[in-house]
Amino acid sequence: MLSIYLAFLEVSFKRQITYRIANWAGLFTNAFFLFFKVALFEAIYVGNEVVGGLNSTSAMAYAGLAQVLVMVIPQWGNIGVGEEIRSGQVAIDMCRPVNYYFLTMSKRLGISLYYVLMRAMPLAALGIFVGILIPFKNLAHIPLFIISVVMGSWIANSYHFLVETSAFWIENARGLKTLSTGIIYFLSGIILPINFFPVWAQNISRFLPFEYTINVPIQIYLGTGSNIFELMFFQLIWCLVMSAQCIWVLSKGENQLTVHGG
Amino acid sequence: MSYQKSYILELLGYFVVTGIDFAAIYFLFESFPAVKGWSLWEIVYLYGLGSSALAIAQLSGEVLEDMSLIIRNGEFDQVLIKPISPLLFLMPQSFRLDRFARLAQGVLASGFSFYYLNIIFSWTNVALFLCSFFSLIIIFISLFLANAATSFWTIQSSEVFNAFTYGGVEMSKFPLTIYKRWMQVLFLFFIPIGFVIFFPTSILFEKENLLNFPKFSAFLSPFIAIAFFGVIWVYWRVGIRHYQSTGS
Amino acid sequence: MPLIRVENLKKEFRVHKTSGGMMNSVKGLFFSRGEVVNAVDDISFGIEKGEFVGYLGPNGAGKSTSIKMLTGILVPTSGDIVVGGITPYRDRKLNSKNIGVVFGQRTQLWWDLPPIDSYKLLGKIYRRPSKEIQLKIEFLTELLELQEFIKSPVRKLSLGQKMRCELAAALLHSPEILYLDEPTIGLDVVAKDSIRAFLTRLNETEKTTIILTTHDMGDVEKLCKRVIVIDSGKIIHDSSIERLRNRFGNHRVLEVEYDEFSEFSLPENVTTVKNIGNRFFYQFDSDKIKAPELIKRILEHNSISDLSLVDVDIEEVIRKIYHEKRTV
Repeated sequence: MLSIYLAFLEVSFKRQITYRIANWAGLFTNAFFLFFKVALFEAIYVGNEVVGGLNSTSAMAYAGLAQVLVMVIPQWGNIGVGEEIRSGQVAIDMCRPVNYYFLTMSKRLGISLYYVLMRAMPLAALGIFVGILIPFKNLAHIPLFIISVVMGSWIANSYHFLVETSAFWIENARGLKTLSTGIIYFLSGIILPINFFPVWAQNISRFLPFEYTINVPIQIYLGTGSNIFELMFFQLIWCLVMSAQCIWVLSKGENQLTVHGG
Repeated sequence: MSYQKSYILELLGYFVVTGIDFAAIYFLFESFPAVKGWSLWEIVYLYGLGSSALAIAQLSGEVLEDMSLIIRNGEFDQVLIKPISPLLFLMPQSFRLDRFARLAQGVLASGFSFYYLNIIFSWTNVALFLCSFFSLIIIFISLFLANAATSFWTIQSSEVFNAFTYGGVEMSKFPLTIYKRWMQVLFLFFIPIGFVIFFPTSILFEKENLLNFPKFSAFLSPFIAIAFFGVIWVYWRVGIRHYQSTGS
Repeated sequence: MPLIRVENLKKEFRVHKTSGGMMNSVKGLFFSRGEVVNAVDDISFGIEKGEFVGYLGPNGAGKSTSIKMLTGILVPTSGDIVVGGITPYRDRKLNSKNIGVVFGQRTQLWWDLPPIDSYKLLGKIYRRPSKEIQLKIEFLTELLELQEFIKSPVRKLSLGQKMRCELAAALLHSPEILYLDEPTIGLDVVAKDSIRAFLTRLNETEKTTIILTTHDMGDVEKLCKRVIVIDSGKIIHDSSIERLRNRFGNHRVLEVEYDEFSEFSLPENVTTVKNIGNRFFYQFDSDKIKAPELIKRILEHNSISDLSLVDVDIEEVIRKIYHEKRTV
């Protein structure tokens, strides 16, 4: 069973490699945003003050890390699930001995893996080279960081999956997509670190899954935020919650499909 | 869901996204007093300028983003068979009603900033705003065109110009002074987004000048923008010629 | 002076090859190799005004590449093309005013709009006065029987209806030359007939020069006066349709229904193609033996209840041409 999912992961990884030029161009875009965001965060600090737990150096590192991880933990939706549902492809997958949600997650993890190699690593190298990214404070945290990134990716992809399953019921989900993408962009901390939110906003965000996608792994890396294990525990909870929701919505959707036709 | 309902949902989506954009700026200024001497409403002005210019550029040039798809479908052949310049044929097809939502946000943001900053509507000030505004529109359209022209060489659409367009809009929301030298040079002399925004605006808000440029360079903006378009247009023609040599 | 003149036309392409496998995929990220293909390899022909020419060839033979060069979409590697006195790819807009193109699988009509709206827009693009376009639309609507659906969105039309609308769109500006790429593909018999009738009439009354690319031999037999066959970039046949039929001899097939068959020896140059019970099919070369003679021979030995005479199938001839080319 697991081997099927792993096979899809591998295929999905290979497919990404064929997009040769788009790779380099996308890397260019990411690098651009990296420099832009870092410059911004450098400019807003006047001295060595600490805001929301971040000083000038760590804020810049935050910006750098956000770009390093932005493709691995996808904020931008459009994972193809919407199209597959509309085109009927999902019905074909339903005839296979696999769960469509886990299938999608396998594919997405393959893509994330690809982006680790093609974006995260080059960008990280770039960040270290220009002195933005400070190396790990505590080497023992590296495996924890990696697990946190994987969980963050899982949550983000599940969120997009959830949004796109609306295709089972809604014809034109463009408005919903715009709305949902805007929400995750904002609340995951990628536009503005959650640390810079006013306290009331931070409190609300804590009860939403979004900051557990990209903000938390970054906090773990920087060594800010509360207890690492506490953060990762919440990530795990959200992974489970999101997965449960996705599986539930999927079964409702598949029901809809079989009862009402494509 | 009926067409109307989904349309409303889409508009709602856009307004929420704008709200979010604004919230991000607002939150930032809650935590920090200023960005290199520029205050909240001055930043909002830049935001409004960038957004509305991009919206108008999209109303005329958005179809160019789909260029690689058009080429792959063979639709571009259909365009070449007509006795009309491909640009003239394609661009009017960008017009979409829902882009007006983004335009509205941009205009609103600019309007609010005028109000809060107590900007006087003198001839000079209006001219400064319009200089930036029109020049920016032309530059954005040029970037869409450059993106489309690149599709003639690589079938996969080139994100490079997207970086400059959408990245450009993002970075134009903050004063040019915050960026590193090389970025300033890039956006002053190569992709003159920085040029057409910064000089007129720094006069408008009486900010310190960058690189000690003479004041009238603010009014050079439209010419710079048109020259930029000219260069890209030549690139586009070369691209069509290349398409005709190599087929699809 | 021919309306369309093609001389020593060549078109080379550089084709990328990708081999499968993981290592090659990753290599492909950094390098890419290509090799040169002669899509069109030194072809020459002339087409006079008013001709109806079939342009045939197997897939990948170079048909669409040649058509693209004729319409100005593609620039040749070498050679001359002159259409109506101008070079298509150099004076693209001028050439476009004079040609109409129908691509079988694609449409130039706007998908969500009724055809009539597309026509009005096309009229503006071709800079024809609106009065002229109005009359032309009425004329074509009448001729192609578009009244019922000209105001329905294109996406709602059947294939046959779409094709008729497509033809109208291509003819709005009264072009001298019409290029058709597989216009009858996917159509039912009735639709095919009506389109063929229309094209014949167009060619005869308006003297529109028509160049037809098709795999449908029915189209060729019923419409084309001349056939050009291209394979692997070279022209392997160019003649009138009668000559095409006679290329391998003037073959005809006699179909005979016997009351009761009794064996007899066939004359020379006659072969039995097949038989089903008492129904026999004989193929013979009418240069070598005339039909009445064969019939007489048959009647000498047998009594028959029915007979019919059929000219050889074009498809058969084309097949032989391809085969001959391959084995040479």
